[in-house]
Amino acid sequence: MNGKSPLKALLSQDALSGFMFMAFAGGFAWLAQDLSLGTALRMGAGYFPLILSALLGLIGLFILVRALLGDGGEMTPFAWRGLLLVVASVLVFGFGLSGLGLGPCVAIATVLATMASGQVSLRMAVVLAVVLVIFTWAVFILGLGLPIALIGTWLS
Amino acid sequence: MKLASLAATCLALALGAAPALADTAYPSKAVTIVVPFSAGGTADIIARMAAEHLQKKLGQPFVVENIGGGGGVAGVEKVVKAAPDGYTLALASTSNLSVHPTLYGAKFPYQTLRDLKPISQVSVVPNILVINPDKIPARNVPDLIAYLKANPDKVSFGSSGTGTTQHLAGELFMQRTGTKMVHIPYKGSSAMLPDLLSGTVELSFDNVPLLLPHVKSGKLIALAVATPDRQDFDKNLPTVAETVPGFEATAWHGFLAPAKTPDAITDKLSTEIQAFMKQPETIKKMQELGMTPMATTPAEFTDLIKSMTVQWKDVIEKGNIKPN
Amino acid sequence: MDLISNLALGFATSLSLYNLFYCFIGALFGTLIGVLPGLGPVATIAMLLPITFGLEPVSALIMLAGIYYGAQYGGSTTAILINLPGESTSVVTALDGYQMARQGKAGKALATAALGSFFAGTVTTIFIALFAPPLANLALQFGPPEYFALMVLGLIASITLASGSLIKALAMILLGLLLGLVGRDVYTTEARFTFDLENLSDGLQFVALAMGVYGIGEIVRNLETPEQRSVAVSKVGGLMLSKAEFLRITPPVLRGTGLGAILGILPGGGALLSSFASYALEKKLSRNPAEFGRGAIEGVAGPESANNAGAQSSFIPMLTLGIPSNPVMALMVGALVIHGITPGPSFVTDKPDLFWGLVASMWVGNLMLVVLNLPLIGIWVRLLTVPYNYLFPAIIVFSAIGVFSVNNSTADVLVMAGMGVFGYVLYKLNCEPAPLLLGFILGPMLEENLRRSMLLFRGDATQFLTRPLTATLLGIALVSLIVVLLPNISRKREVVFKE
Repeated sequence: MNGKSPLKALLSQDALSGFMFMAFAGGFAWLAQDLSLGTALRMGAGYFPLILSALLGLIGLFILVRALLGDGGEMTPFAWRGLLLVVASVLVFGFGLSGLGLGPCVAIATVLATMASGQVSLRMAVVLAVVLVIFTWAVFILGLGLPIALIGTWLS
Repeated sequence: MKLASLAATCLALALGAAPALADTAYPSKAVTIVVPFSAGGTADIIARMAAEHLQKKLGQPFVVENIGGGGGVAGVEKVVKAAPDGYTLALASTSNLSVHPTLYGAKFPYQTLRDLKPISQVSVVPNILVINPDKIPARNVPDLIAYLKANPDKVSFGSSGTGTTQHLAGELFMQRTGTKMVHIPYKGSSAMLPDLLSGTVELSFDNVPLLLPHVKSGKLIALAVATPDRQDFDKNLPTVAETVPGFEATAWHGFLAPAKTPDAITDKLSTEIQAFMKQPETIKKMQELGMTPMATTPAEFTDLIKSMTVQWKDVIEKGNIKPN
Repeated sequence: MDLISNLALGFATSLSLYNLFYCFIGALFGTLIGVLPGLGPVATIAMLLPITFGLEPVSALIMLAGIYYGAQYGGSTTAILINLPGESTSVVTALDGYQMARQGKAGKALATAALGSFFAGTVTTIFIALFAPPLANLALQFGPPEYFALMVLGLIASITLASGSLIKALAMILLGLLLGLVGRDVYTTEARFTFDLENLSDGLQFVALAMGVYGIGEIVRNLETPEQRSVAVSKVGGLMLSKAEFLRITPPVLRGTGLGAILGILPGGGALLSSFASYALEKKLSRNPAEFGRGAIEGVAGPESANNAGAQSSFIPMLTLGIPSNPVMALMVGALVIHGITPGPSFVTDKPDLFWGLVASMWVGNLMLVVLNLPLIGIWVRLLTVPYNYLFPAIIVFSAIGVFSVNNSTADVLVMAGMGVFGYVLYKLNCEPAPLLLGFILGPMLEENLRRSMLLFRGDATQFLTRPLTATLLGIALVSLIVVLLPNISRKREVVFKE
């Protein structure tokens, strides 16, 4: 385990975790500046978050230092394609559910998601999309009466 | 013209005729009533009862949509931004209309009377002043004031949250009587109740339906009701106003539409809603729910929102409750 | 014997064909809707509430209770099968349940959950029937300082949710606590960490967070290794437990039931803590704790029993004091109020048929769940044989709609997307998300009760130590911290050695 390059140690799982925790601690503390601090009797909105941020920052630092000294676990490559396509298909719902409506959202999201694996033919993707559109329409609109239109306002 | 259509509407109603009138085709499609709270609460129940009635009378579906979150801000904001065509309505409460815009300051997304058009007030939810009898010796309002004056900052009063009518009622009480208590906010009344029963907090202003069973069992004692007049559920219970003149701290609900909705539509809805609120079954149901049914015109509802906004603004500023 | 005649009255009410029917409908719909990712008991009951407006109060309540158990159980099903905890309590079930499913033991995990829940339900029903009124007073012994101490204890227990690095688990708890503080401050109404977005002023939504971090994160993670994902699991296996397994799950089920029944009485988050507490306890008592997080059947049996017992005993404060201990209970109170009934101290004497009918129907509902679910397990498990490439797009679609449905908010769906990325990053960094989620749930309660206590003490923090119950709980917390940290340091070396 000795003799590894400093860069590798810096990019280990634990070192990066340490950085992440410290970044979150810093971010929360920075945002908490604008909040009232109060006193121990009448704690303001910023009191508790500041204490937590300080603790998180310290532990983050400890994790980082420990990772640099010892074995921090090696990073494995990111599945970029899967990540982007899966998140994109969720975003379709987030941005399009009222505008596009349930039907188009389900269809687009399904096709995007099937592309993430790269192992489904377009024809099967379309079949799956149709099945899911019908199923979600029956369950969520017909059955449960959720306030979503099948076809949204942008398209009608 | 407006009067004529109103009269025609009334006549049509009186005769039980079909509601579709020649000069207003409204409603010609489904109407959404946004309730800015989750399902199952009192606001939701009123909205569902009214929706059923309106659907029957006006011939189009009235759909209740619950948009909780942000203390109701998200739901009201949706109505504010909706097309002013009468197809999106709100059923909102005191805090949405007369407290939040002041409390949350300049960045708040709406101003009630600039962005919304009142239709009808439908309910008053009376708050009552209760004490834990093991902790506070007073048994009436004058004695309570004397006790609080002798023991400043000793009593803790619980509320369902900062900026709710329950909290502001306590602030108003302190400001009007010159007494001092420590405010302990909770997330909702039912979170506060156990601490009130155990005497951890000693006093509270809260809704009748929540408190009445415990008043009946003797665990709590009701000293007064915070409405201008004595209420039907207990005519022997005095009002706070009998000791502290002009004291009023209640929650209420009412229907509103986006500001630019045509009068013809809001008047039509107001007439229907008022008629519904005056039905004996509605009145009975509302009383069972611990509310006093109301049936007011758009003008009366507008005045209520105005006067309550002024009152609570004053309380918020004097009590320094505003967040920075 | 009062109890016998009371229970007879209860069973007479709940076993009428009419009420039996509503109990069945409730349990069935609850299970079916609960299995849809994101649609937990709250959303389900909120949606079906209007139907109950027209029913008799007894039937309405029985049906709602059925939905409650059903949805809770349905939530555990998705947690076990596809690592999607739609409820805070099923976060724990997902830990070992999902690992069991990956090893082809999904049927056994689901059967364990069903049997554990049924046993816990039966015992807790008797418990409620015997002790409901006196126990209500226990709830009143817990003021803000006691809750604060209990939350501290819960947080320390949650360190054990991690099977890897303890220090990272601690950091994740703190991060979870911070995330839990997003939203408007209860005390000053200041908006915290919301970036001026009104959608965030009520805080991050638990379902969006949990389904993002677990569900979406898990999907991306599976996409990393194409060879493993032809089907979600390679074999599904049977659902019958062997005799040895029965013996293994018996003590955890008993302990879980006890923990759940007691903690469930506390309206301020007790039931919630019970499944976490049970997991921590089982891991501590286990002879090979290293198995936890890798498919230990005790890690499913204990928390699931605790969860169901807690769900049941949280009826106690509602029925005897009118205090709803969770959003589901609040909806039930709403349903009762619609019928002109206000639950409170006189509920038992004023409406004995309703009270005892409900108590009896708790047991009937649990029985129905087992009868309903044991055959359904076969169907759920078969779902996993759907090729993963077709299954995961469907999971994404259902999760997105489910998260939306909780508040009818598309902003929550965006939060889920963001949390999905976050969850994947956590996986890459080898940070376990369970402690984060517990911190997220407990964060607001911890802070609220701390600040409330300080206000009530008028700033005198020493009063934490002068209240016997608070001091005891804090003392247990301190001892637990030492017990949790000490042996693990030595054991960790052993584990590293073995690998």
